[in-house]
Amino acid sequence: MKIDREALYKVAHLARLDIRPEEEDAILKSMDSVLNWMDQLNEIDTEGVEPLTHISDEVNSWRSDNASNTLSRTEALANAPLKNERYIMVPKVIE
Amino acid sequence: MLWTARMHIFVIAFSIIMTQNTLQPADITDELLATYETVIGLEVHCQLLTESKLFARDVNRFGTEPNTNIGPLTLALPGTLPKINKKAIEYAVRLGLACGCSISRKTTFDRKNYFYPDLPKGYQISQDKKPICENGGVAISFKNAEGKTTDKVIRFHHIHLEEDAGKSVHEGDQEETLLDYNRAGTPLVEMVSEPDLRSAEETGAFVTEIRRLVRYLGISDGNMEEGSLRCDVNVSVRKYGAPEYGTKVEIKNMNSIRNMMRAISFEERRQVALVESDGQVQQETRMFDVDNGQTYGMRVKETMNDYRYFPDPDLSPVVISEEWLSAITSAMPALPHELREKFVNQYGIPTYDAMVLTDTKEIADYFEAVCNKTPAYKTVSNWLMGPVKSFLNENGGDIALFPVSPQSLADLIDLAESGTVSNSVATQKIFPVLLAEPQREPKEIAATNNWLQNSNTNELESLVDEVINSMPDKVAAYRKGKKGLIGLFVGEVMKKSNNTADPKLVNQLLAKKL
Repeated sequence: MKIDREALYKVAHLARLDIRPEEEDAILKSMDSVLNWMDQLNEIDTEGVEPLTHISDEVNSWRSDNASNTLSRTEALANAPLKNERYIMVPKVIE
Repeated sequence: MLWTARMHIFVIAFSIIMTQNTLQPADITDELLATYETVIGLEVHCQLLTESKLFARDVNRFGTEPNTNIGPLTLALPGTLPKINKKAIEYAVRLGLACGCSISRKTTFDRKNYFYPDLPKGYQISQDKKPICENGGVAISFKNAEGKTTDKVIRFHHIHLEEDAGKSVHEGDQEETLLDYNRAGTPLVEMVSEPDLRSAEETGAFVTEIRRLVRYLGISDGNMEEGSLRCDVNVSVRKYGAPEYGTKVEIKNMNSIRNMMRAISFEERRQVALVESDGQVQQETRMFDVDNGQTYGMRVKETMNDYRYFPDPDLSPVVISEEWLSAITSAMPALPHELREKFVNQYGIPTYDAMVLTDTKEIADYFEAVCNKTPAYKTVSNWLMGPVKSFLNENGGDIALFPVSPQSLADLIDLAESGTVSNSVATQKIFPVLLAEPQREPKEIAATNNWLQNSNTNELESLVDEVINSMPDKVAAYRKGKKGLIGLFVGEVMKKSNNTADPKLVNQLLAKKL
């Protein structure tokens, strides 16, 4: 196993995922196979090969600097579970 | 007896140990502080003055009603895709060129992953592997500990583009944190310096120069109070000559250059106090408290940052072509140091004047505009650093609020230069009228008020005679050697002439007659 419970729960916490104890084994196994595959990839000599950051060859998909607002505040706040007339609200993040 | 003495010694020894263990920042003398070297590196965030956000069309503007500039992308609604603002790339390149950076001809965007309520997507789009600018730096000039003006170059590690986060608002007794996403997604450049700075003074000069630079470049308003220029300051201390850097602390939350310098001065003493007490400096993020001038640690659980950067698959790389780069290069506005050199070489004004006049681009532009109308360059400089500056200081410092046109000021300077009016009449009489009624012409103001300088020798000669005849005692005293009385005679003649006489001529006439 390349991955242990501690690493699993750390990754889960970083991604804000809840893992049920009965799922642990299956997830560990699946992650382990991903990491093993990564190891195989690492065996390949990539000296002098440009890093592949994107699959497509597209570059410079940009836009010019024109501004326009597309949502009213009422629309923008519509889906927030907690809000007042001006703000989205969340449980206090600082003491 | 013996026992008591021993006890006494023990108490003293114990209290010395106790004091050593609890050294406070205020206990650190300047002498002790001087045996330590402070090492400072900065991350300077600067908001770009684009119309729209970095990856969305939402309006990018400070001070608008909360949550009015937020579209689907800013809210991270499903199915939305970012599209890069070309202007932001151009601005970052402009900054990179001004700082002598190498411009990455192919630059990519990465996701920096973390969860916080001010970041709706759960990641910030930033640049990790291939930032838009690398290396380069900024030249600064500052006064060292001995008060000597010193020049130094502060190197950049890189400059990258990233989107800003939203703003958390805490209102009075409100139970919840309020979120304003207007700022979320607005474009920032982040300049990351090498740890080249060694004092609060240097750091102050560095940020001042960066602020001047971004304003000259027209890419940011550099306003620290409004947060369009923000600095994270990394500070550590070590004994001079020590091979390794000390443990660094990051300070945030400073809304002016002065407060940033206060924070550094406090922090270096705090760290020296810790080291001197055999303590350890904790690697942490500290905030600056404006009210007591101290830094304090944030009570948050310090988990190791694990941002898991990876290339953002939603954003294709940006390739900066040779043509575009040279177009940006040729459209570069003049930089402060270029103007300084030009002012010294072309207008022949002293270096000090050139420094003052290039403090802001607006002042520099005004100076040049006046110099295009009159050849008396040094006099123009004196006017701008004297009466004009006084007016600006009293009126908020912005040259945009100065009512007198470059043409009018040039006319006024020419009047004084040609001797048509005296210098004191120009500065103390005509100038105030011009400030109140800027549409009037200086010459007309002088004529209407009878302020034109009298250089008519015959007329002045009779005034000089009148004065000499009216003060026989003083004249006798003068002739016996009380030469200081000359000032009194000149003053009397000036008074009689209603201050229109040419003082130089009056002096000559008096010297001849006495």
